[in-house]
Amino acid sequence: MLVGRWSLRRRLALAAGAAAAVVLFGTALLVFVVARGRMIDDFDRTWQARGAAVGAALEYQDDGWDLEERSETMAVFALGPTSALYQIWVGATVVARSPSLSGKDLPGPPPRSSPAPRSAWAMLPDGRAGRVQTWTFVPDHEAAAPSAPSLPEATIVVIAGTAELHRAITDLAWLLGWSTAVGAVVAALLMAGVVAQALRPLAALHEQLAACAPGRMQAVMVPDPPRELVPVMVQLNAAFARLEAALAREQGFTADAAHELRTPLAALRLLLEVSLSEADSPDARRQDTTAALALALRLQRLVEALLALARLDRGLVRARPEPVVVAEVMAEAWATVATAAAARGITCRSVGLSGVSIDTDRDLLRQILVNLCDNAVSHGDAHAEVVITAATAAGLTITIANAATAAPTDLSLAGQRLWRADPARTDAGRHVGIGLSLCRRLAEVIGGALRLERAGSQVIATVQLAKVIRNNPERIPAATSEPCPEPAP
Amino acid sequence: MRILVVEDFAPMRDTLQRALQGVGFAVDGAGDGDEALYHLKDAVHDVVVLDLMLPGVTGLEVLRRLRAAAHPAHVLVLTARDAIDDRVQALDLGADDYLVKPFALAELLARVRALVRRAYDRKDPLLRVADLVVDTAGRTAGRDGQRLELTAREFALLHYLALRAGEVVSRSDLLERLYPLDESAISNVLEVHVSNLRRKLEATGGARLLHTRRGEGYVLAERDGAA
Repeated sequence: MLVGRWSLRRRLALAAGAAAAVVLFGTALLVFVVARGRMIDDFDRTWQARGAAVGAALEYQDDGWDLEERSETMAVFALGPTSALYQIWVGATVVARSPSLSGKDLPGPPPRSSPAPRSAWAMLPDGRAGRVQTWTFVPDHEAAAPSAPSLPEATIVVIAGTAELHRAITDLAWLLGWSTAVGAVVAALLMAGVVAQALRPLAALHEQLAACAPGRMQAVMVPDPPRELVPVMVQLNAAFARLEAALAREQGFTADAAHELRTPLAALRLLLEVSLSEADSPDARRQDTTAALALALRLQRLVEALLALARLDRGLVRARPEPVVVAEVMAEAWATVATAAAARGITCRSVGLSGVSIDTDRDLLRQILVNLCDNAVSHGDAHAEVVITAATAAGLTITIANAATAAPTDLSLAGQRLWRADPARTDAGRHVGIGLSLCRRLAEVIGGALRLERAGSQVIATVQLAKVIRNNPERIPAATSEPCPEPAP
Repeated sequence: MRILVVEDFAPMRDTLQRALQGVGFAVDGAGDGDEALYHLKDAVHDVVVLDLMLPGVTGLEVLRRLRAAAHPAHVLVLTARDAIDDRVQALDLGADDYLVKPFALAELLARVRALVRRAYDRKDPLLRVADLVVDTAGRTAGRDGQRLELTAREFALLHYLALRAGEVVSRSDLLERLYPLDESAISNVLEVHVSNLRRKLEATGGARLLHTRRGEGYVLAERDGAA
């Protein structure tokens, strides 16, 4: 039995949940990256503003450079365990530094810079992480007289610790991470619910299908089905109907075959048992043996017919086409029933058979015609005429028509296996109800079709074949016999 | 005991009739449902062996009509149909037994005998009248421990009288139940068989068990109540 490891509902719920999680985590990551960048920018701009305020306080006086200390600005660079510092160079000379440097200079020469501030990750002298801002500016001159000489560019470096920035970024990461995780779980649960709701028609269909079994295949009907499910239901119901019909036919065939086999078998066994216990004279034994032989022959015919049908079904019978004179095969077929026909006063007349040839399997065609002639003689009215006609308008059409007033009006089922006009299947003779079925299959093997119909009191069997040989006299064998006399022109 | 065999397959019907006649039953045959119903209208058959697939009126329809008419015959369905549904349907319609073809003759006869016993409200296959014992299964009879050599027809007569021991059984009843139509037309066939049976019953020296009631019929009993 084929069992999937994962249900469709679980697969869809997991896929939808995973997709929602990916989208949520992706969005959170994007938000985190953008927000982190903004926070760092804000941090840089804050310290650049503070550095600019320090730079603006630098003045050149007659006795040199002087930094005007403005408390609100300088407090952040105050001496002590602070995390911010600055240093200003003019040329290679340090002209100012923050108290937080405790009188020590930053190592190295002033970095190369430009008026546009440059930011980078750096390290405070005590080893903590920070951001460095560097830019150049032109300091103010105390006596800004026109005669005052122009001042050289100064370079300022501001380094600020980023511990708080990192804490804020970490808090943001945790917030986004947790909210995304919770969101993903909630989304997965919601998706599971949505998927279950969406798959409800499929679940209903599954329940109905699970309740189906051979003989209990009712049409599946899901209320308010989604559009995608409608063709599936239509196809399923059509398949169920075909399967039920096939099953009914199969069961009918099995029951009929059982009846066909069991009844003569039972009669044979009973006859032998009775004969063993009773028949004590040679005449009685001979009589019983004759009756037993008749029953055995009947069983043999039935078994052979069933085997022939099985061979046809398995495709073991192949047509071997050859040029065939239809009149000749028809004559052979009629000859097999001529005695029985004469006994019942049945005559035969053929129309249009002369000169008709066809590319087909001679033996298979002969079997078909023998069966049809046998049926006409056995089941037709006594003292009636069997008319055999050949027409070549579209392929070759052979019809065998005879009066059979006792035949059923509806012959649509004729040709199904073990079909008999008499539902009780009483006929104790040669007919076992497989002949027409065999004919139909044989006709298919030689690329034709067999049809049986009733027209008034007439039963007409029609064999439709293709591949009539025309305009090729060399390929048309000469007829050696005629089935029955053609009417005088 | 009279039995009707309803079977459309002639070789089967003929052999069944022959087998049942061979063990002393009077047997009629019918090839279809209509003929079966015609035979059954006189209600003289104790058992009907009935095929289901019959031309015209089906076996099930025959069964339905029998039961609707409260016909007393016991019905043994004998058919090739072996599905549970078929068995249930036939039994629910009033069949007394169901046997699927092919079958063993011994089993068929045993089932028919069982239905005959049931028809006369007997359970024991040994029927006893005074010192007479009739073994319906072994088809033997004995008196006072001595076996009686009886023909099939004599045994059938004794069997029927033993089933109705103590009752007066009319001559016409015996002819209807025990003799084929062609034989029952012979006026003294019954008297000949009764005479022979009585002689064999009394050959052991026992008291008379088979009594004649003039103008009424015969009774198998230890004492003739009318005497």
